[in-house]
Amino acid sequence: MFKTVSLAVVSALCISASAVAAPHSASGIILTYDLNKDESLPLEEFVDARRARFNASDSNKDGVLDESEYVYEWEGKVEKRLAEDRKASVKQTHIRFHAVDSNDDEFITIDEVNAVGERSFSRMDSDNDGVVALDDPEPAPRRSASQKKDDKPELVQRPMLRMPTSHNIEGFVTLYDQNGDGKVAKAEFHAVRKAQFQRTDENSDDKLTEQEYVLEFEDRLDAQIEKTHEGQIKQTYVRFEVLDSDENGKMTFSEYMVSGFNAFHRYDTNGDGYLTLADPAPAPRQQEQSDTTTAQVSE
Amino acid sequence: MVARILIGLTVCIASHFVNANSYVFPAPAGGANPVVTLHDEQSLSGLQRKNIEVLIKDTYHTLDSANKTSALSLINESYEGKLPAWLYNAIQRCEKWFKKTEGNISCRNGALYNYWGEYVRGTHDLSRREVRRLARAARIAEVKFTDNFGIKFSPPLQWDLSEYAASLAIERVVDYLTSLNFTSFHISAQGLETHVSNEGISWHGDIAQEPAVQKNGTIAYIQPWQRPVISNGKIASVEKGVLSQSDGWPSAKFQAVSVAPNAFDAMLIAHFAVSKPAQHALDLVNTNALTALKLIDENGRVFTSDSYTSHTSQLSKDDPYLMSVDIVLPLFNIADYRGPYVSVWISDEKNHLIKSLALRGTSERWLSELRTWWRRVGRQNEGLVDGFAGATKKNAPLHIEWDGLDDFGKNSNAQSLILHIEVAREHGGRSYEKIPFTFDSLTSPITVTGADEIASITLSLMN
Repeated sequence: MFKTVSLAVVSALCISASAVAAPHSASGIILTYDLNKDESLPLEEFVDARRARFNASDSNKDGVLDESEYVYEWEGKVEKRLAEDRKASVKQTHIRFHAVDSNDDEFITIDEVNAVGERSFSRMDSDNDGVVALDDPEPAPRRSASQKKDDKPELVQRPMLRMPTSHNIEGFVTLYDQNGDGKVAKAEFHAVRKAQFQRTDENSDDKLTEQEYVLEFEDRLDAQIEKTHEGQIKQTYVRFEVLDSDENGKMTFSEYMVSGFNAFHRYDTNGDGYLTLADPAPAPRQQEQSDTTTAQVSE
Repeated sequence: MVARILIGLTVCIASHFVNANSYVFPAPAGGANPVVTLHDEQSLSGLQRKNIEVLIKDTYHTLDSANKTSALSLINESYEGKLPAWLYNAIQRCEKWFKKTEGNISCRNGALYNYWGEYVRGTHDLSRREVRRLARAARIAEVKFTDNFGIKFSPPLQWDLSEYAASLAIERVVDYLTSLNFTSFHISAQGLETHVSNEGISWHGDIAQEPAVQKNGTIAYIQPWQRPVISNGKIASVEKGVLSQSDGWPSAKFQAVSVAPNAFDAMLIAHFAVSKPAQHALDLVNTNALTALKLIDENGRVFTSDSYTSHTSQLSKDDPYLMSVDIVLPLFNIADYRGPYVSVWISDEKNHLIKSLALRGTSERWLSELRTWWRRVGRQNEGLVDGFAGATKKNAPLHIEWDGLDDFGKNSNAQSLILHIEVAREHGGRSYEKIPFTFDSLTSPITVTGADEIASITLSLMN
């Protein structure tokens, strides 16, 4: 028997990023450095893996990383991850098309878009006053389709490519508030979605094919990829300067490990010298919610 | 210069032609030289050879976008004009495919090819958004055909048929030879085998390392993995595959072998099939009994359209290794009825997968609800889902033809087999049926009545 997965997960015209399982907070570090894949990362294994990565980045083998070696290594990782994220995101968009196409006729009509819209609007408008405003309460978190029943965290790499989200109040208002008054009336919300529908409908026949729907999303996705790539590289230069504490343009392994140890200890919340799924999540950093382009130093 | 080869024994390109004469013509754009082989001691005069050489050269010359004075370049510059009859017909045919495939078969993407050419020459970087924009602009442009082979179209559309030059040249040569009353001949060119015989003589050769038998028509094949998307003889892109006409990006999902009554259609289908999900291309050729397709993915997994085997093998009507499976799905009269996820596959007695026959539905989340299939097949074969899964199609019945070959194109040797059918519907139920059979036991059809999500299943030999 199929389980019901709320269609609200699916935002018509795919304004939101795809839903992901709740990753364990230290997922990125464990996945990157737990080379024996036992889901547990002792400090020694972490240091060894960092050493190997440092050596691999040091292409002229002079024992230190200069700025270009450091940025080049990260750029390769960024491009690989963005390509993987892109693929997953496009795949998800095809699936979303079929979820919005509720009568299964291979077309999305404005009525189908509005039906999904009604559900997402009422979810965001938790005080039911017909307006979603910046000072409205956040909607209750919802289970994502792939989240396990027991809420056990999973080792999942956080996507580097994140599309603007309409799943929190701030994102929702940013996307739909056209007159800049800090709130979104339902008519305003539907008007934005209708305009987007018309932009997507390239042959203006009042229905969207899967191709029209996916191509429109890919356009926004590629714009976001360019932005993310640029932000990541910029941030990597900044990070090099910060880590190169003696400012001699050469990063030693111990300078390289300053950020590594900071991250390790931050996520080893029970302080046993192992990063595991059992470590409770650390308190969130202030800027972590909104800053989507900053690389996590030790990913 | 046309080389003439007189062959008493016949060469491998036409092993069934006795006393065949073969003529090799220069390939104007490089690549394999076109070879014309005539059956039955027929031969070409010097003038006829010259005419064929001119026809081939003229086709390439007319379509050459780098040459500003070529017929196609002149039309592209003024967005209207008169065309040679063969080119007018080719563009009209291409436009019919264009409408049928939402622009995924297209001759409109000259601007896109120009942009790629500039990128390969180092004029600018490559932007994925820009190529998508160019493909879209070409897709929504207006095209009007007028009397006397005239055409009018709106900017920024630029016609480009250079990818299909060899196939159009072959068609012109076929027409020429037919007009001279040659009744049995074979033409080979880059990626193309065209065969014409009024006497029922078939061609035996190799296509994609597999022996194939061909009656009238063309087989076109593209091996995309090492093929530069853009090459003009001197420079070639590092990007491999063919350009998808819908988003302007290289794609190399499958090696494609297509069959069509003529060379141009065969090549258009092959291009399309390289870059699209398997089900899109198979559905397209299955609508016409004269077209067929074989797709091979990077792992060697083979997908064929319904009539591929009958087009390319010597199966006689009595050959047992061709069967059909027909599945009827019930219609549920409920609001928000959504088509079920369906998998049909064949295994041996130990439940090892032999051949995937059909897969409806693309979401892995829902496909995993086909629990038996997911456990035994789906979860271990990610490429299968990506390459083979197609849309759910309400309760449309499934008609599947199987030639007895396994997923990798090898004969399953007619052992004891099991047909599995599993169906699951969102907010509905899940049904699973298995039917053991051998080809020998199918002398009369087997029909099984299902329950819940499956109405009935019929297996029969096709003869």
